[in-house]
Amino acid sequence: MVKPREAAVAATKILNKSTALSALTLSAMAIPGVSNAAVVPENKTLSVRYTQYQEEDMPQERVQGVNTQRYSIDVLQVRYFTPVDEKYSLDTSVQYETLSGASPYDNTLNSNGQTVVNLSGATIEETRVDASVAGTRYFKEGTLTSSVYISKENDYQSLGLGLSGSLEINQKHTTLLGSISTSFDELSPTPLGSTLAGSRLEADGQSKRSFSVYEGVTQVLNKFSTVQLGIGYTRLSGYLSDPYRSADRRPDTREQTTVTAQYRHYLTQMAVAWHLDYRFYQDDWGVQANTVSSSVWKDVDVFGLHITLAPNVRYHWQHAADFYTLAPTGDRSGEYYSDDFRLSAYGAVSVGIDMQYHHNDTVFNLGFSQYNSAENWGLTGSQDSETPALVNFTTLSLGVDYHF
Amino acid sequence: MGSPCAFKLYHRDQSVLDRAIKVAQQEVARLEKKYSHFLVASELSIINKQAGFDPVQVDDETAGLLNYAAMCFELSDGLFDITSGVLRRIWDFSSTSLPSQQQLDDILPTVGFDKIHWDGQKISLPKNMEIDLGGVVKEYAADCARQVLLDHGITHGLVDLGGDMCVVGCQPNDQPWLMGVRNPENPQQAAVTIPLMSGAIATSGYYERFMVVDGQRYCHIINPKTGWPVQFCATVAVVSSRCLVSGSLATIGMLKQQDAVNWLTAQEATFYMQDAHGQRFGNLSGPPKE
Repeated sequence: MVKPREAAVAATKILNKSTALSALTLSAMAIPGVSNAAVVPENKTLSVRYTQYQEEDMPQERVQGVNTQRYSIDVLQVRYFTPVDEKYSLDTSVQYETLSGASPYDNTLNSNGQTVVNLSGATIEETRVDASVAGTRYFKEGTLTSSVYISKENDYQSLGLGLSGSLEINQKHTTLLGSISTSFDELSPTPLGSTLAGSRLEADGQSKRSFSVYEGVTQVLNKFSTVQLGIGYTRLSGYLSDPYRSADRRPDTREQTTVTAQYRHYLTQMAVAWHLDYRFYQDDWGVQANTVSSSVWKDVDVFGLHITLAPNVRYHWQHAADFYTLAPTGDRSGEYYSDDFRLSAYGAVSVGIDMQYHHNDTVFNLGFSQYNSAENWGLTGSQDSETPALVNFTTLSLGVDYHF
Repeated sequence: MGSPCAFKLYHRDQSVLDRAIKVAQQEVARLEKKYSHFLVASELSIINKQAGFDPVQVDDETAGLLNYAAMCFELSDGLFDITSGVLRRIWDFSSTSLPSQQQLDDILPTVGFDKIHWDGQKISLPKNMEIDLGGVVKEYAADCARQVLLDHGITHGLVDLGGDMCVVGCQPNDQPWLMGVRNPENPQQAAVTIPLMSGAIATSGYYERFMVVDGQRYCHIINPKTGWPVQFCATVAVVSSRCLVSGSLATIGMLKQQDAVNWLTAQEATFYMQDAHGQRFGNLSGPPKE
């Protein structure tokens, strides 16, 4: 460390003209301010959000039976965020979900040789409650967060623990991110009618575990753009089959790897913030997926109201798992098999719009999106059989955030 | 900071404004707390409490301020001295009595930045000495608050910490901010109005805190070598890119007394000075009075 007197002399020597003005200005610029340290939020926030998720009915000609209705889910979420002292914050949320409708459990061939889906006959009515608490400690150069959540429904319960942190380096232009999390789930399938039998009986009391790690880095590229790159790994183990499907047998481990990239760019001329995200996913079941999504955020004045609009679009395409099959139940062979459409090859497009309106300390949110999926959007070539169980759905969400 | 703080900002998004003001206020409060002379747990109090004992390791920000204060001491030939705060113990401006020469002789040995040991990381004060960053922290806080506004995307704004002012850009109507320098003889009036498009202005004056004894004014700006208040200048205002620099140059100007105009001119400072007789000097003094 240069001694101050030496620094003073050095500063005056460097300048052709030695003035107190120039020397002091240089010295003032050398004081490392801490004004942009990881800022502890000082507001409390209470948020209430309602989301309605509605799956489209299945086409009658591809369903065995008369019921074509699929899931409808209503979610009510209440979140409370508060700073604690000067260095901590606490984030708690409680979510209540009700689900009704039917889901595909099997498939067969109709007289035209097309695959038709069997939907669970009786309409399911279920509720799920989950709660989470996360505490964050703010440091001069980063944050450390630990979290816990529990989730309970009548046939499933889950406990999760997580630890994540961020570290700002390189004069806050680079942020290193890391997290680990684990979860312990237990299955207790509901009986079909009055007896618990078959795969439901087999799954009863079975457990499932997950362990995830994520490493990422966010880099400020310039005044207008940032990029975030991340890699994640998750290992699932335990009972991973779907007990509600009539013939579903999956490996008891699943290793998933994801690579993500997020780009944020502010276009000054248009006063638009542009988000572009890409995610690559691969697992050892043979599923390989790509997801690209993009949104633009723009402030507009509508009838004198200052509103932020964020239209967004997302495209997802994937290869099927190695053991995905549409063979009728009785014809399935091999060690593993599943007709879960989420393990099939398909493509999906969703388009939506989010709106925000700020009024003093209150933010009103409204969001809508439409999701459609089809086998031939998958960019992976057609399969032997179609996947009629692929789903289309809409989500509508309404929310209010109150800062105080 | 013991004096009124004001922010004037413009941004079309109210939530950005609210946030920027809150964070800027937090930043000023943070510095006030950290360098408070009155809070026993402040970083400054900890340094002063250790006088005569172990050296105190300081953080980067404090080191930067101490380096800056060291440079002020050097460049002012020892007039700008953060150890001179002990003189306040014998100068009571709320009274009407002057300290005795004996009191001055007793206390002057505990004044002198060259007597403390500062190696750029650790500071140790001899027994009975103390430092006071009051002469730099308010101006530094104004600079930091200005940086907060910039970080929040504010393009038109003004930070006013008790007369030490920084601007962010011009006014929203593209006009410069008009900064009045108080007339020392009548502080409610402006002696001169300075248009400012960027940078900062700070003012030092003998009207801020003073007492009058036998018709003679004694102000709070004290020459650390003699222990007596300065007499010559009524006010010095300096414009520069940083409020901190403006503030120290203005204070050094006051301390330089008869040499103020020559010294400030030699430093290429942009300044306004008015002496105790009302005579105006400096490149900001405007056209001569009719």
